Amino acid sequence: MKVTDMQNDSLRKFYAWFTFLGLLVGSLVVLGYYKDEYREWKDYQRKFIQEEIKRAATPQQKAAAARMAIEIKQISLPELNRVDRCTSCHLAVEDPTYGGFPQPLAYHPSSQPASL
Amino acid sequence: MYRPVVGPKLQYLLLGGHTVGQEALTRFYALHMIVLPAITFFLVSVHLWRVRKDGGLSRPGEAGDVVERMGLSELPTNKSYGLMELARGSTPQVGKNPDEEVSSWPHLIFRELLLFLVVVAALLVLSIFFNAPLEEFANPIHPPNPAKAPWYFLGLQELVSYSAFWGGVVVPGLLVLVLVALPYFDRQLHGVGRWFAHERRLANSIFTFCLIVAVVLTLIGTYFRGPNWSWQVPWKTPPVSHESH
Repeated sequence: MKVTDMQNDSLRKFYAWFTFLGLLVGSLVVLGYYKDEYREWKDYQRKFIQEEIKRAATPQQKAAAARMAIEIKQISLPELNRVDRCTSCHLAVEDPTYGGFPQPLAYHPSSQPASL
Repeated sequence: MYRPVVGPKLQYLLLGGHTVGQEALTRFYALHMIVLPAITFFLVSVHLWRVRKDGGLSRPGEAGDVVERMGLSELPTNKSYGLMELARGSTPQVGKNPDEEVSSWPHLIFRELLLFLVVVAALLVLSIFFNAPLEEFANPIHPPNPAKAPWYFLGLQELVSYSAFWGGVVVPGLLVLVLVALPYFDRQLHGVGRWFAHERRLANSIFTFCLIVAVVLTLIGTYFRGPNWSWQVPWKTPPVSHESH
């Protein structure tokens, strides 16, 4: 019986390449997900949410803290042609109860009202 | 340019008004996201169908070559055809000897799949390890200087910087015309489907020349042009000048 195209020796090297590239693409997809899920600012926001939940006095406050979305915080200042995303990490910058808290979650003493 | 009668109507249709504003942006966005891709999709489909019907853009050469270059032990004499449908009529392949062919599956498709995986892996590496530049608000009153097109247009922008008419209209127009006309005056079949075939030295040289010119122009536009499209060297690049606040 003659060999068919699919059993041909010349195609064997392709299977090795497919295996290698398939695994490479698969790992890159996993790596991409991991890198997105564990961005620095996301970690800080999770830490902040944990802290807020810990400090919550009432069940309502606790639920509100748990509901906080993990997202980029952006303050848009069109008159200055400027956007500030500082509070994506410095979430407690305006909350005096975070005085002395380790950065980036510390209160900023001169933060109210913002002087430009 | 002025178009009599239909001009103002066309302008209104495209701009959604008499001036360039939000409406115009929305319309051009829809045009580029829906209408142009739909046309492209249709034309690409016709093109691919035509290519397959004519037996491929390129063929693997003479019978002896096929065995050697494809690394086959012998020609697939038991070749079975993966038919999609039976149709009456003639194509350029009718009457040709099957000995000069190998089947698309797996020989072509395997190579295409391999290339596809390489491209996907490369794109993933780029998107994971290189962040998109994050810039300020676009401000129409203070556009960046130089205002550069996307990188693939920078060769064209470099041409346009010498002459809007010759560089922006005549040269690219002629190139497109030549590409369209090419199959009608290059009808030689010898050497087709072989790398660096001696018989195709002229064609290969012309193509390589055009490719090198395009790459060089793009590199100049990308790395060697500064404010007001003046010459600069990339290792002394001043930051793209925006108006300071």
